[in-house]
Amino acid sequence: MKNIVKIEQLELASAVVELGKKVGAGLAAIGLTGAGAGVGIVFAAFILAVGMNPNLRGELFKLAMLGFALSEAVGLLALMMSFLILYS
Amino acid sequence: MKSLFEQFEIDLYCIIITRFFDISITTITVYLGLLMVIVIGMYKVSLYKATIIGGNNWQHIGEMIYEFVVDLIIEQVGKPGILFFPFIMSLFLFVLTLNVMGLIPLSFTVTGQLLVTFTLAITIMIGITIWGFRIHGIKFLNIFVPSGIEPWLLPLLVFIEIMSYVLRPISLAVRLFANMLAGHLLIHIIGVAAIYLMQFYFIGILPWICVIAFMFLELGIAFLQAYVFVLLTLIYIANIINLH
Repeated sequence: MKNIVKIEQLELASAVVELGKKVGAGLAAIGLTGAGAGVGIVFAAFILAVGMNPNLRGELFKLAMLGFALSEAVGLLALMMSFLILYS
Repeated sequence: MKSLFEQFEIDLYCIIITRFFDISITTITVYLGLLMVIVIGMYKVSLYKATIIGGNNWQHIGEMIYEFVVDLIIEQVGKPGILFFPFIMSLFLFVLTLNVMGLIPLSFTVTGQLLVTFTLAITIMIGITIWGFRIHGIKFLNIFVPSGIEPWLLPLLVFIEIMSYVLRPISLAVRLFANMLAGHLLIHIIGVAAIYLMQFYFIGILPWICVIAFMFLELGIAFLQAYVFVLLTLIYIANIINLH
């Protein structure tokens, strides 16, 4: 009689796995705060630089776009991890 | 409700397996054929009644993309980089057209597959490494040795440089792939929310305005990611030409 697994125990085990997936996905999405701060810093620096020297606006805009894309990609890695945990 | 990842599934239309190759026709094949038709057709149309002075609007679009790519190469690499112009131009049109084609509703995003972007990135990196060995010989290995540092710090920095060189294709591929995947999932989630909110009539069309705004954001990101992909390729080429 010891080795029999009851249905309640199986349900409990799958519920614990579901719970772990959802909590883990939520925790993985915390990494996006850093990406948000990074994008904000990039555009703040761009506005400051244009305010000091408006002639360089065209060149600085390209650099700002490059920095925006690079820092956003890092944040999207955290989002990818979250989706990967949630849906696989 | 079906899965969120339904839009990234690849369908198999026709199975063709020879003895050495698997050339089955899938969704990716169909979209690549459509890409060739669109790009070649656009440039045929832009050359149809082209004139040297003035010109029509189609001609202006073609010239605009051409001058954009040429200015980018001259700015990043300099004169010797003009050797890479056909490659960079076709790379830019490839990534840009596939990104924009993925934004059509109910269509498939080819650049949202890690397979496609990683194949592009690893091919570019292997190709420009072979090219670097051809123009520099064995001195190409100087790219791993930074100049003007203390001797006792050298092994650590050489290790870091080699690691950063090896990880370049992975970062290049995952950047494009993750942007496309996250953007399309975001539009899917917002669209489902908008359809759900249609039953509350007092909200009106506010959710659909939100969906349209996110579509415009995605259009901007599609252009930006094609630009960044080409720009980083050019930066790696300039790194190999100048060798620190």
